[in-house]
Order: sequence, then structure tokens, then C-alpha cells
Amino acid sequence: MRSISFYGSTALFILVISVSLSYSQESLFPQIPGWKITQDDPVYNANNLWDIIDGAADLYLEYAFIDLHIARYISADSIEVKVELYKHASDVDAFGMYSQERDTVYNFIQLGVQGYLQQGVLNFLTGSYYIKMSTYQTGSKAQGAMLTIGRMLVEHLKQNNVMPKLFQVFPAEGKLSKTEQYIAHNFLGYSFLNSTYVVTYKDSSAFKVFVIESTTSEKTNAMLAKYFNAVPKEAVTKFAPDKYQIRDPHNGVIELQVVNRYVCGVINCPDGKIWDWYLKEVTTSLSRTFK
Amino acid sequence: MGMNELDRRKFLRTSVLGGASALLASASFTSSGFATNRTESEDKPIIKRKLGKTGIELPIVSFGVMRADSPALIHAAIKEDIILFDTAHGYQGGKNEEMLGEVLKEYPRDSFVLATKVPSEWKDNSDATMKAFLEKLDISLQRLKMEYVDILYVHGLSKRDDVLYPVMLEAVTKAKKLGKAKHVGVSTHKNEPDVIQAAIDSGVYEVVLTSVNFKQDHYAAVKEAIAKAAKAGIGIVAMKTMAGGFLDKERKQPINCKAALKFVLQDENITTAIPGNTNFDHLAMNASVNRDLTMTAQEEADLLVSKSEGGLYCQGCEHCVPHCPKGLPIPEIMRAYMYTYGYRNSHQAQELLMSLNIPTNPCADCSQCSAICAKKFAISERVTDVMRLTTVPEEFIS
Repeated sequence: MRSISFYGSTALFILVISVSLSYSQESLFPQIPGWKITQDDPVYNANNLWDIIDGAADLYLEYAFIDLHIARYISADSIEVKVELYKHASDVDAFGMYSQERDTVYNFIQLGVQGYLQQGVLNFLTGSYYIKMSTYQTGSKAQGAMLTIGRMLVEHLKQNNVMPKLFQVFPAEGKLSKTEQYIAHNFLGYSFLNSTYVVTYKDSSAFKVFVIESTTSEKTNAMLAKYFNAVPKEAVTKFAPDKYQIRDPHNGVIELQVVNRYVCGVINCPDGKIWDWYLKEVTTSLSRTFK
Repeated sequence: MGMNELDRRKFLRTSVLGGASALLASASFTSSGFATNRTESEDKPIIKRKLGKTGIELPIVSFGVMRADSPALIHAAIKEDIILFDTAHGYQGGKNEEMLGEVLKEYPRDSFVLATKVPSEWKDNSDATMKAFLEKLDISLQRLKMEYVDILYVHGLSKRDDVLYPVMLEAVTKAKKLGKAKHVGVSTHKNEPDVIQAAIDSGVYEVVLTSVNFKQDHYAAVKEAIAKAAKAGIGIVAMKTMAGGFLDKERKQPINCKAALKFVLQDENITTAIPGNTNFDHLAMNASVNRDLTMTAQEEADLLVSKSEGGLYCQGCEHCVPHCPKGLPIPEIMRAYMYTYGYRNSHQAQELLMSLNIPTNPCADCSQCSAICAKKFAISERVTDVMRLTTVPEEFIS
């Protein structure tokens, strides 16, 4: 009886899921007066994302990609806009993937969390959706059409349209615009450095400030221990109980400070006073805002 | 409790190895020519192979570059004697090519081989289609800060007609004439045998970047096509060698990636593979294959289990259940079998079997099994095999 009830409940679960999926698939794309929507493409998931974006899929999977829904909007005067909705497991994952593809030189617009409009392309982020729109048509009408559909999508999907909270601890002084990144795995090329928020700054030269988030301070300490083991012993200098300098053979000079379950750091900062100031700013803000 | 400790350990060892042997036979891995050699790889020379008729010689392991935030990995790869770096016009919206250009500009141009992939997209007419392709190549070259790429692939082709599309044949030929590509090829991860054959027939393409891995159902056909291509002088570069890296959808059961890489490279018709290194550990592991391609016994066993994972998974359709005269909970027993041979979790398997409260050898008095599995599992053999776990004291299960 136990096995029957197990499979019975599994079947019920699958039924519920498939009903909710088909509902959500229909409701993901808003109806827009004057536009016809077609959804002929399959829904892609982690197992077949390769079929549509080839090797680029690997990176999406690192950012907890769930599925990709595609629709085409066609207007009465034959403007066609393709919309790809990449759904990720969380807002931060979606931001991370978006930040992997965004460049600082793009034409940024206020849409959702952040977005940019190029010729024939509008990419933006709204909550856990990374949305890519494209059209083959050129001219202001086609560009305007993408913006209209983009705004309707933001309104329709009702997501949080704010940057990941942890970016609040990074100071504004010297910050290079649109350089915030979330790196889910393998920060600096190390398998044990994950969940990292990074921002690029500039003084006499560019440098990066980062915060690595762990779920507990024990995990933070374990992660640091692995890092110290991965570099030569003489490369680690301890300045204070929770403050270190690492001469990383792969990545340059890194200053680190531990605050609760966070590791803050500055990479390749040209001046000791400057990195000290940034570390102080970030750690103070972290202590005040995040536990 | 007639078994002493030694016997019990021996039983467990024999049981698992016996299962592995059976899998070995069913998976036909013996024909692949694995050479089991457990010597250390230090001090061995780098294994290099020629890339078809291109004149390029490469270490068997190269680098599929998939992310732009770790240029340190590229520097480290060069220190590991990796020569070929593979990117694509579309990766990370172009940032991937930009990062590679920034890093590789520090090295002499003839010290590395750069491959990129540019997609072909139909425009209003043939001229526009070719122009768009060549414009994308120019953008890629700008990002890469290079005057030419060593290998230019038409990205992601899966149909014979697409490979032989005259406009693209003309486009890649033009790219070569303009000195923007030293060699041209196609990349494919679907219908690979057809694509490879078409590349041979084209008389234009010199390299094929193809998916090939131990889990492909059509591996034999891919291998055969690769052999034909190699004979025709086409260089073969392997991708997706890790078969996704995980056995399960939840990505909790990793594949032995080093073994998977070695398996593909046993085929000498494949010049090199481009695993995507995301951290220094991956890089060190993959680069080590450059000096030692021999499979360890453990690696062989890991691949066998991974390959047969689909053959271990019971879908729980219960078609078999009504036909078993003993009314055995066959799906649960099959699950225990998968825990044992798939996940190597004998504890979990034993716990499950004990909870079923059935005799140790429930099939003993059936001369023939009347329960038929939709996936053609040998039900009585598996039941008899795995039920032996119930006789082993828990403390002896490792």
C-alpha cells in the first residue's frame, strides 16, 4: 500500500506541477493591444539549453538557470520582436548571469533592475528573469517597440526591481559605473570561493572590491583556510586578528578582512591607504547592515 | 550469521565487482581499447596530435573558455602548456572574446592557437547573409585584438544542408583569402555524423568541432564519422566530453570528468578536446591528461557506472508488479539496486531493503521470472543480487 500511495502522490504532484507550468507559460507574456504573440518554440531547461545557445549554456547553468521561454510579438505593421525569458532560481542568480554578459559601455536605460538598449537588442533584468529581446528591423520604430514590450513585461511579471542588497555596502567613491557583478562560483579561479559580489573602482588604476557571502561564520573560516592552503605559506601575512594580505600567485595582491560570515577584500589596489579606506567602509557598512 | 568478517568483506567486494563486470559486458566498453596503466604522469612528455592537414600540432587537451571573469585561468593554462583556446562570438555577449584578447596580447601570436565560432544567420539575401557573417568575424577580431584567428568555425550546425550551404562556404573561403582565418571549420552538437560527413564532402572545411562523449547513444556512429573525417585529413576537436558533468538533473551526482575526457581521447582520430575549465582544480586535472592518457581501473569503473546510470534507474511504472507471483515491491528493490551500483550507497540500499520485510532470496522457488520490465531490466537477477545485502551486518557495509 505504501508504494501505491507513494506513486499516487507522485502522480498527483506531477499533475499539479504540469498544470501550474502550463498556466505560468501562458501568463509569462502579456497580451499587448495591436500585437500578436506566437509561442512556437519549445521551453528549454537545463538539459537542453545547449540546443539553442550551444556552449554558452554552461555558464547559465552555473547561475541556477531553470528554464527559457520564448515568444515572438508581431505588430500590425510587421515589426517582429523576439523575447527570451531566462528564468533563474533567484534574483541574485539572474543578476549574476546578466552581469556576466553586460558591458560597461552599453547604452543603459531605466528598465526593471537594469537594462541596455543597442541596435536591434534590448537586454534587461527584472527579478529572477533575465530577458533578452531582439529584432531584425532597424529604425526608431523597432527600437521603440522593444521598449514598449519590455515595459509591459516588467509590469506583467511583477518582480522585485532592485539590485541585490549586498551591493549597498560598496562605497560610491571611485566606483566605475555598471561594474557590479555577482559571481556564483569559482571566484578568482578557486573552486571554494563562491557567492561573491564584486565592484570595480578606479584611483590611479583600476582595482576591485569584493564581498564573499557564506551562510555561517564557520563556513567562512573553512573557506579562508582552504584559500590559505592554496597559496604558498609565505604569501599570507596576518595584520590583525581578522585582517590579511595575500600575495596570490595567480591574481596579484589581495587584502582581506573577515566580518561575521563575510569576507571583504580589495584586489590589486595601488595604494595601501586606499585599500585600507575601502575595506573599512565596506566592513563598517556590513557590520551595520548585515549580520 | 555464518560469515566471518573476512568473508563478509570479500562478499561485498565480489558483489560490487561482479556487478561491474556485468555492466562492463553490457556497455561494450572493452572494445574501446582502454589501456589500464597506473603509473604516475610526472616527467612524461606532452601528448600531441596533428590537426588534420592544417599543419597545427596540439596537445590533446585544450581549453574551452566559457567565462571572462578569471583571466588568471588563461595565464595558468599557458603555464600548463595548453595552446588552443576556444571561444565564440556569442559567449557572454562578446566579453569572452574581449577577455581572451586582453590576456593573449601579452603572448607572441605564434605561441597559441585561437579558435572562435561565428553563427550564420539568414538575412534578406545571400549577399547580406555573407556580409553579416563577415562583419561578425570582424567584430570578433576587434574584440580579440588579433588580425586573424587560427580556426574559424561556423557555429552550431546540425544539418547537412547547412554545412553545404554555398553562401557560407563562400563566406569562410573569403575569410581565409582576406587573411582573417587561417583555417575554417564547423561546430556541431547534434546529428554529428551527418554534419561530419557533410564537412568531408564540402571540400572546404578543415576542422570539425564536435560533441562526443561516453554517454552518447550514437557514440559508435560519431566515432565512425570521426574516423572517416580523420582519413580525409579533417582535424577533429572534441567538446562536451564530460557529457554535462552530472548524472542527474539535480546536478548532485558528478561524473568522473577526468575519466570521461580520457575516454574520448583514447580515439587517436581526435586531435584535442576543449573541456571548460572554471577553476584551477579543473585546469590541473584536465591538463594532467596531456601527459597521461591511460585509464585507471577506478576511472573505468566510474565510467561504466555513469554510462549505465540510465539502465539503473527504475521509473516506477509498476508494469512488472502484477506479474510477480510473490507480489514483490520490484520498483523499490530496483531503487536499492541503483543505490548500490549507481550511487555506491550500500547503507541506503540496505535500509530500504530491510524496510520492505521480504525474504532474503525471494526468487529462489521461481524457475522462470514472469515479471517483465518495460526497460528490460533482468528483474530476478537484480533482485537476487541486491537482496544479499540484507544478510550483511550493518557495520560491515562501507
